[in-house]
Amino acid sequence: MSNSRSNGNLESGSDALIDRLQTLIDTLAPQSNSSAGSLQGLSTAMLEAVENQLNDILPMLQFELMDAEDAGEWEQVDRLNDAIATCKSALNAVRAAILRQTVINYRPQDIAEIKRIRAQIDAAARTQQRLAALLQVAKFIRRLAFRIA
Amino acid sequence: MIRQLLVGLLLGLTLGACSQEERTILRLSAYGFSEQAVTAIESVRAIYKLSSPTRPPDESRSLLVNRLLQSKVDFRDVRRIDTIITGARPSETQTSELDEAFNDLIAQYEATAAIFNNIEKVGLLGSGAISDAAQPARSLTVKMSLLAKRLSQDPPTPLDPARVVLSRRLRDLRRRYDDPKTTEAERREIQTQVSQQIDEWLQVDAQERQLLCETTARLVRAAETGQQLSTLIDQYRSVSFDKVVNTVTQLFGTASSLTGRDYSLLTARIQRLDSAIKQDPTLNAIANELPQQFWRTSNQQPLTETRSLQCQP
Repeated sequence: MSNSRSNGNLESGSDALIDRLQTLIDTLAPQSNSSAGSLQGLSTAMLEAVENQLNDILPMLQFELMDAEDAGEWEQVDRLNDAIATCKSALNAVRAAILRQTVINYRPQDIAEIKRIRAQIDAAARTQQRLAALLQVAKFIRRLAFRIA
Repeated sequence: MIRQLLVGLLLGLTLGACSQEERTILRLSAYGFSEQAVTAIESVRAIYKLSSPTRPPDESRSLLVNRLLQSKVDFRDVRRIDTIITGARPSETQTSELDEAFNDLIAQYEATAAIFNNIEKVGLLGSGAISDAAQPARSLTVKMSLLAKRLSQDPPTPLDPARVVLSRRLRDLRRRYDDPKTTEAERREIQTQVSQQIDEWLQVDAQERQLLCETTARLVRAAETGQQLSTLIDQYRSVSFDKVVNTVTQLFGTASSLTGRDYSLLTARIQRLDSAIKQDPTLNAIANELPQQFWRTSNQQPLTETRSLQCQP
């Protein structure tokens, strides 16, 4: 086991990181709401800057967590586990927002077009089914007419 | 009602103008494009997955035992005890927003493929509908390129957990090196160990680069297929049967260009592709005309790297 720092140093290092994480989360959503929906209003450049910082903080938190585990600082382990979960969640939300801004929502009119064509296909298929049914009825009536004649 | 039926009858006649081979090539191309795109997106999803550093099993167990014996734990709180023992946190088992974003992207490709999979029904709409469908397909091709570009310009760091483990080892070695009680002989030994850690670090870097390159290559390949589909849509009335065979070979030949590590990922997709073809009489007939390369992959023989992966963004 590798820890040789005093517990005081361990906590202060972790606390500084957790504070830094909280500041970043606050930057993302002043209303403490980091859902992807609320991030869509932010610029891609800003999201990318936050993504880079979160991506830097995550391994540092993981590093601190392993130290805290080795030192048997279980309360600190809980705090760091919570911070890591928050960091991962924020990083996923930020990346989702970037992906939607730069790729997924690119040319939304095309997505509408795909839906329109699908709807047309379904409508045409229904018309074809009605046509086929009508032709069957017509054949039946013709056979019936021959028999009667 | 009568007007609708007349329109339906006229549109039905249009279908007759589109040959079975033409429909087959469009259906196969769209299916190939969608399959490649979905595989590529799943690769991207995998490299964006946020994992944690791992410890040797005995070390993890020892820590767990210590925790249960030493920390303040309410043993009545079985949910809490479960979290401590399994390490499973509810937030990490839920679908993340990033997963939802990837699912949405995949749905776009599958929706486009579904249009071409119902190509007979598209024929009911007249030849113009196939041209209409070309635009979204081109757009999805561009999206593959955008994703590839994004990955190459701002690559994620999926192997950071391994770096955390190595970095802690380096930190420990540095502490021992700085310790005044450490002898000169021990310091020389520490230098050797640091050098070994550097080698491991560089291996992690190389592994990560390969992961990123493979994923980028998949995105690029899917984009190329999308491009091909787009061209085929433009020319679909004039393609020959030979071109059907060539195009299908190119689309399905992808499997043989991937490395053994991707084999497990690919197997399920190849099986799906295989059964999809066998279930479709037209596709099955066309597939029987294909060169042996396709059937080698369908029969799941070990895949070898016949083409080197190019990581050119």
